[in-house]
Amino acid sequence: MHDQRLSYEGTSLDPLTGPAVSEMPWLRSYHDVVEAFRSKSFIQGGGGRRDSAPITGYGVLALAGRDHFERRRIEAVLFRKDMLRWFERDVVGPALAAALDEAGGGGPVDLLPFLRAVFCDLTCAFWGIDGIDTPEARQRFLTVVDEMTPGGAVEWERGNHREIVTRSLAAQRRFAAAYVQPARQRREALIEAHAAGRLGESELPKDLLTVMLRNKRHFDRWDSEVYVREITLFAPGDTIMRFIPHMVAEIHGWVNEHPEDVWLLEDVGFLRRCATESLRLHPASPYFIRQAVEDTTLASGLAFRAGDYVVLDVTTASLDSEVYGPDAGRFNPHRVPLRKIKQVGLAFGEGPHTCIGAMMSVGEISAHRPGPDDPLGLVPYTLRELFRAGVTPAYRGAQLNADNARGEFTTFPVCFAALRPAPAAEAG
Amino acid sequence: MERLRVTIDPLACARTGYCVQVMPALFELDEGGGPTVVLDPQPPLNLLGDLREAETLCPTQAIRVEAIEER
Repeated sequence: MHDQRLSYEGTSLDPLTGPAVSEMPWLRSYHDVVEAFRSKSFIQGGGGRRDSAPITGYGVLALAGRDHFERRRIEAVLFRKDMLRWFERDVVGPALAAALDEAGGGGPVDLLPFLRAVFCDLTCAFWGIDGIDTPEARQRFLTVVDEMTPGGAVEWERGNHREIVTRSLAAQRRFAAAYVQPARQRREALIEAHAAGRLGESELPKDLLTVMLRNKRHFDRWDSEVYVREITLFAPGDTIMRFIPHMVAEIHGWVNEHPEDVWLLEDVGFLRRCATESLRLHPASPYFIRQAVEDTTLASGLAFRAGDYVVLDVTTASLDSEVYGPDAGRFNPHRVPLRKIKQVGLAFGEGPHTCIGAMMSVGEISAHRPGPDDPLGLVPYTLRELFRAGVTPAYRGAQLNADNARGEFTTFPVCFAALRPAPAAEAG
Repeated sequence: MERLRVTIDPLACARTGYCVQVMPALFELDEGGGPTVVLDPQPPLNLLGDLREAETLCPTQAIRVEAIEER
C-alpha cells in the first residue's frame, strides 16, 4: 500500500491548505489552456489532489504517470462502444420513455428532478448499486448522493470548503455502508464463483465496482476506501443532468430564430453540435487547477516555477475570439471556428486527463463516420427524445445555482406538448 | 491477405499518449505538440488486439482501425 504521507509528492488526504484559487495565476487564452493541459510539466492540482482529496483522493483524476494509465486501462472496459450502447438503449432509453409518458401533456415539470430520476438508473448501473427499484428507494439513494457529490467537486464551490467536505465525507460514509458494502459482498461472491468455474464471464455484472474488484491488485495498492472514492468520481447521470437545461433553452431559442432548422431536431449530428456549442458556453468543468512539477515557460512567455499552481480557465478560453470569432459569446450550432480545433473544444479537457466519458456523453466526436451500431451519445439521444416530446422552457421560475462556479440550473420548469408525431421507425 | 489500416483524426487527437503507452512501436507523440503520429499506417493483422485497446482507450476516438486487402 502507498504511504499516504508520501503520496501526491507530499500532500495527503487532508490537504485543505495552499493558495486559494483566487490567488493563483489564471490562464485565459485557448492556446495557453490547451498547452498547459497537454504539457508534461504540469500535473493535476485539483480533482482529488487538493480540497476534494478526502472525497476523491487516489481516484483516477488525481493520479499521474504509470498509475494513471493503469487506472484508465482498467476502467476503459466500461466505455467500450458495446457498453455505451447498452447504457443508452437499455438503461436510459426505457427510463426516459417512461418518464416522458408520465409527464406528457401535463402542466409545467421541473426538468432537474425529472432528469435526476431518469439518470438514476444509469448511475446505479454504472456504479454497480443494486435494489434501487422503487420511487422511495430512489429518493433515499439520490438524497445521499446529493450530499456526497459537492465535496468531490469542491474546488468549484463558493462556500467554506472544509465544511462542504466534512458534510460530503459523512454522506460518503453512509453511502458506503448502505449501498457499496452490500453490493461489494454480492460481487465478491460472484467473482469467486466465476474463478471457481461455477459462473460464466457473461454472468458477471458489468459495472465499476465489479471492474475494480476484479483488479484488486491495482486498487489494493492504496487504502481500503479508494473503492468508494473512485465510485464518487464517476456520476455520469449527475454531470449530464446539470447541463441539459442550458441546451434545451439554447436550442429552443435557436429554432425560434431559425425556423428553417426545426427539422434538424431529429438529426443527432445537429443535436450533438448543439450540445458541444452549449458546453462551450457553459462548461461542465469551469476551470481546472494544475501544478508545475518543473520550471516551465509556455509558448506565450508565461513562466512557472516548480510547485506553482495555475488555473486553466476553460470558461474564458472557450470564448476566445481569436479561435471562435467576434460572436464567440453567442450560441450558434453551425459555428465554424477560425482555427483548426477539436469539435468539442475544451469541453472534455485535453491531454492525459481528457474526460473518459466524452463519447458516453456526446457520441462520435472525431471526423470518422459513426457506424450504424455506434452509440448516439446520451446527451444528443436525450435531447432528441425531449424535443420529440415537445419540450418547451417555461423560463418563469428557472434559477441558477449561486453556490458554485458551474453556472448550472437548480430549477428549470418546462412543458411537454408533442409538436409533431415521433417517426414510426428509429432514425438511429 | 489482409492488413490493417490505422488512421488518426488530427483534429480529434487530444495527445493523451495512451496509444503510445499501449503500442510504443506504432505510435509516437509529436515533439512539436501536434497530433500523435502513426509510424506504420498499415501494420500486420496480428496487432489487431493491441490496436483495439488503443482505440478504446482514446477518449476522443481519434484512432480508427480497419482491415484492408493487401496489394
